Amino acid sequence: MKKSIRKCLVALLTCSMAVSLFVGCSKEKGGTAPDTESSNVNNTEETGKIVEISFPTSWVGVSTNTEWFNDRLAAFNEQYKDKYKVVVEEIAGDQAYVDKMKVLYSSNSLPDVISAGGYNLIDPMKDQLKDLTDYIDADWKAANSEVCWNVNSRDGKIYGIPYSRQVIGYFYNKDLFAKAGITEPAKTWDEFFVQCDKLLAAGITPVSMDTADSGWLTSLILGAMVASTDEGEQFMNTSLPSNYNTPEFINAAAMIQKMFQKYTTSDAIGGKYENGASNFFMEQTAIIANGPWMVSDFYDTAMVEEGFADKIGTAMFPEGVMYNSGKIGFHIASKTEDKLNASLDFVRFLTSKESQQKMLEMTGDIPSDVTVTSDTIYPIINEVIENGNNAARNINDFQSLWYANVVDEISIQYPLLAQGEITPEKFAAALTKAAEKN
Amino acid sequence: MKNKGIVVAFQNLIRWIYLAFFVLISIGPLIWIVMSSFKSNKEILSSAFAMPGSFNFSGYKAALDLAPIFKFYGNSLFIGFVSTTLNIIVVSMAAYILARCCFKGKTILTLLLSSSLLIPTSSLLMPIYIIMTKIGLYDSKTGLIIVYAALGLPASLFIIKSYFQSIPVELEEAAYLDGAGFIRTYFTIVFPIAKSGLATAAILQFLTAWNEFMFALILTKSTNARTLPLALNYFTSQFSFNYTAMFAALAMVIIPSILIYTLLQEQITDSMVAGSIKG
Repeated sequence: MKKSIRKCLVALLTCSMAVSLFVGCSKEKGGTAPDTESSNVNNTEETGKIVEISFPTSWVGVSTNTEWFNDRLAAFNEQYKDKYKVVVEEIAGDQAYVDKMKVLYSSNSLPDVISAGGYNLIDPMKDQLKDLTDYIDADWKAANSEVCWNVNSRDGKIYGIPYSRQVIGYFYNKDLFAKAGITEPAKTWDEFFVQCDKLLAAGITPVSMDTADSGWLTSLILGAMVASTDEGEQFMNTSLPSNYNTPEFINAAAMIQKMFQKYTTSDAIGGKYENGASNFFMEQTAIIANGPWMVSDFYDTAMVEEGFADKIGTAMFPEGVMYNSGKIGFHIASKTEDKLNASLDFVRFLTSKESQQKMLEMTGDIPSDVTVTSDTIYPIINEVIENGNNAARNINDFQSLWYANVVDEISIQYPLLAQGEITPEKFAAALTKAAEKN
Repeated sequence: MKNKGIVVAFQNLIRWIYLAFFVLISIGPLIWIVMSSFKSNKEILSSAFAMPGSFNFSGYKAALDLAPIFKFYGNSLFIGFVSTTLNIIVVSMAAYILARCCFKGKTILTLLLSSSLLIPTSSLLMPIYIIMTKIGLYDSKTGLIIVYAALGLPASLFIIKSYFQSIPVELEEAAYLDGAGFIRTYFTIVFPIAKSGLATAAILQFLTAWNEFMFALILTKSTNARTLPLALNYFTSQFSFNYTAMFAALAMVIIPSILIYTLLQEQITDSMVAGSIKG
């Protein structure tokens, strides 16, 4: 008798486990939970005539675009308050943003408007992104430079709407250069390494580098090294390359290995952008490769000493190489016509001349519309633009060009390359292997 | 005699050095975080281990301005406590049955419940996201509570089951002899005795919920359901950072974990010792 009661209780307790979980679910469904059927499958809901669109953004917190985006969002909501409502999801952190988009893509529930801050989501997700070719009229197309449309297009179809250009060279500390007896930036990579030796001899670590988060600082130098020849320049303008086993890429990897081992700080291996930037701000390194969006930090006395900006010079990479290309912009993945129209109006607003001018002034990001200028920007930004205009070789950046998994693979391979655990040939082979998986 | 004194003094010295080393590596990082939260970005970058030039709370103000910390804090506390309670109540009942009763399929059931330890979190993301959206729990605290309670299931089951097995079965037999039923025996005899084991599992479960990032990111979209680990991302982005605010936020984030561990550390130690000897 007792045994059967115990058996019943065993069954009861087991059921209670399942039921308690089930009750937890059903309670919320009838209670305060949002209508997720509409908010996640369609990602929006319509109230009357007002069309809601969803826009997850990483332009929050300390992001350089936060102030600009908040300003533009408020202006859009004011202008279109009777027509549209933008539901913003804050996703702090660029990598977190990409990770979430991957999960939403896998479950076919991408939001209406996406902007991944230059990360290439077109190739892995283009089957769910809208082909915008028919929605871009001649005026809109003419407003942005051709390179900006190229990077946002695949097979003649437009999947992204540009808002800024990548014009990237390197910044150097004029005081540290003078201390090492260097009068002007190097014209060739041989001269660059001679200058690195001079800096070392003067007790100065030459270059800020990193390996984490796709090793942005390092990869910019790597790409510039690759592009020093005609073949390399072509490689750095090729979308989704699948073969990295080329002489120019292997040579560049060898130079990067040498730089890791001799010309950078010890925290470069495993370090992120902020480690490299900190070293440059603290005048512990003399060179950093990056875009003009970091210029405002040169004037921020919470980051740097007073007058630091006056010490900073801008340069093209050796052999006249500059990153001078479009940047991947806004994607639209709306599933209904009215949401698509609302998304297009929202993106058109964010990429308008007025918005791009504000972006230039507030963030230092260079507009995709070449006619947009401003008199109120830092002079260093104008120097960068000028370098871009005078470059002998113009290339695109790796984040926009290469497969997403290749970009991820770099962070795994850089530390191995830096520590001499793999050869430059093996480094190139590892990236090729990653590219071939696509 | 004199030599013996020297040996004792030497042993004490070694002991103190040993203890000081562990105190340093345990408390050092926490003190460093709190100290850094009072320094400017420039001070952190130029002299990471120096004392702050002045103690001002601008980092804390910046942290609160940049991210909805208090909102996330409240969410984290609520989700942490509820998921812990749910986990402990449900798992302890299951663990008791698995520890005490013999029935067909018990081994398979135990293995099944424990096997989720071996499944990588990244592979669970998409299925759980789809389930949560389908059952209407996306972007809700309840969704996260259920997921966290389930995530901690194998660890809690392992700890609590081991502890139940260490309790002499004679205590329960005595209760039955005195006329107590199965449920009364469980709640009035076994449950109180297993307090230490339950506390250990509860603390680990709470810390799991408190620190989890990926599910909080994927399963929520509004500040109403988001938790503290997501707030820490507000202070660094690809090309900008505010270390002072980040350390201030970190100082605020780690306090509950430390408090809970400090208040309940005796329970944890007792439970660990009991489990290791009798389990």
